[in-house]
Amino acid sequence: MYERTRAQGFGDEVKRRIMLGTYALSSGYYEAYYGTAQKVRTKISEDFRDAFGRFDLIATPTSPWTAFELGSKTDDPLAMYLNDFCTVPMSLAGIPAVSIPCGLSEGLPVGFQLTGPAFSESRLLDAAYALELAIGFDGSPARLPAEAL
Amino acid sequence: MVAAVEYEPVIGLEIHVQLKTQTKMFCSCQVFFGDPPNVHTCPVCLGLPGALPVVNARAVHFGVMIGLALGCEIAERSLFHRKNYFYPDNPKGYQISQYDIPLCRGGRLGDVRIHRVHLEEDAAKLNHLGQSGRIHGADRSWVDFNRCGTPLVEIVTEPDIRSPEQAREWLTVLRETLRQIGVSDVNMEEGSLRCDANVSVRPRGSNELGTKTELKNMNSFRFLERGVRAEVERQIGLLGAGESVAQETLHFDPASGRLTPLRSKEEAHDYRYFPEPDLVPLLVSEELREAARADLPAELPTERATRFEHELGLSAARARELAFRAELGDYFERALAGPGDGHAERVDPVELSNWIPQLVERIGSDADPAQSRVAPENLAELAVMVKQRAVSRDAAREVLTRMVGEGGSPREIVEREGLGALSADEDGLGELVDRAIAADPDAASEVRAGNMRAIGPLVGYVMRETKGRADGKEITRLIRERLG
Repeated sequence: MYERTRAQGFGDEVKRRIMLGTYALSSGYYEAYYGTAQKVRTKISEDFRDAFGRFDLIATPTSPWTAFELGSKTDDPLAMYLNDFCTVPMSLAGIPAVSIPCGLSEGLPVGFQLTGPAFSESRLLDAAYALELAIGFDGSPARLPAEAL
Repeated sequence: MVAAVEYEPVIGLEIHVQLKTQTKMFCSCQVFFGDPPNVHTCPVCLGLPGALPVVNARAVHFGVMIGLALGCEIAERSLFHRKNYFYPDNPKGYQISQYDIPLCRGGRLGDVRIHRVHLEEDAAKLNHLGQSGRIHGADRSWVDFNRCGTPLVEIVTEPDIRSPEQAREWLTVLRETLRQIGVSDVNMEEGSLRCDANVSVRPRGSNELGTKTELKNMNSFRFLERGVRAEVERQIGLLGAGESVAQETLHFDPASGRLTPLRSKEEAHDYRYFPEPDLVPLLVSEELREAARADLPAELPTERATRFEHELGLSAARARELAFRAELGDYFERALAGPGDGHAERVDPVELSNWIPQLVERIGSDADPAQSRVAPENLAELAVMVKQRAVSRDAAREVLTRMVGEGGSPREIVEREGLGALSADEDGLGELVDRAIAADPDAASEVRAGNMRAIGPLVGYVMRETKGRADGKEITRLIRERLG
């Protein structure tokens, strides 16, 4: 039962990540992968800390591209992981970020992300709310017929 | 012929102790034994997705108490890790344990150094149906998650133990210490105290460590000693035959007393430790440490042994014997307070201490002397009488046997049974000595010539004639007086 639930219940990407994680933690590779990754994470965290010494908040897109078609990058995991490029660093650094919709690009929605230092959630949400009002983006996709909304 | 190499065992122990907390290590489920299976469970201890662990403060308190009692250095900041393994007793797929920064390091109990002490959680209990009682060959297996997540402390010793007997004795001391500080039920049969042993042998005098094996499932003190002895003998046999010891884990079978290797598949562990992301580092403040110290008893068994040895003059072995079993130590100290019935004589601690094993021998090695018919003050009186030569040592043993049977004062028993020591003047002991010399002129002349070893048969003669009532030293004195 253990084998079947895992073989049939998990998709390719989940299995890929389990294998990667197991490999990175296995003895003999731990220092090379997990240990190094922890050091890189510390660097990322320090980078953000330095930046927040000069800036209140950092604004980025939420994602480098607009949405791609379902399944179109399953065979190219690296391209798919790059899609998380703008959000993963904040998770690694353990700092808060908020994404608000800000407009359309070729008909597809674009996210606008604000990142702040640790424990700045309150300021971050205030700023995001102010921007949301200022941008005045209408979240209704134009190509959907009005009666569907 | 080449002289046989003499081998020395090198033994280290790994002890798991279930802590006597109300609730589990990382959730608020009750810790309770004997209930129907799987009633004390929740999303945390069942490993359901999204459930978050919270460290049990009481378990940390107990862990710090153990560390202090063992003289460890308590880490101000320690970390929890995930120890990954895949087995039905573990629904999360990992055990939360401590790895590179444990709660306690170093320390010592008696003559064995402590390597580390850390906190972790117990696994679920697997019950295997079938003749083997083990998972291999079981018809069916059940999992009871009541035990899953029970707080555990793992104590690891340095490889300082040199014999199976020492392993057993040391574990007894550890159990007594843990029992007296009140952190665990420490019952090996019920599994609240579990002990694995790392065993290797090396040529005596060598400082290098041989290849070790790990022994599991020795769930009593007797089995620990038997298991370790069997393994030491096996390893010496292998090395003696020019073979080598393979590093492996062995399972002790109490029924046959044999050790069988666990399947290598079970053994090929790569735990892939990494820091538990759901728990922050464990900080032990000065207040926490002081609170733990305040809960420790005023005197631990090893401290009591030291006091018996250095302040009362007992031998190290006797001091340990009395201190490491609280009921014996308590009884000894009550008796030491004196006979109580107007006898102002101070009891000689060494003399008294020699009568405790005599008493234990008569009431059964596991019995509490306080529950016997021999009141402590009466044993004290017996010791005083022996010291004053009011009764001979041999006769006193007979008196003690009667005290165990019927209770009462030794003075009364001695008077009633006529067991009092014979004196030279009143009881004709001098005449008996004269007779002994007359009966064995050869021995007498040897003694006269200065060979004191020849005095034995003469003393023996008088002892036989008096049925042990005469004091050996007094007889010797009288013989020397006559043959001097």
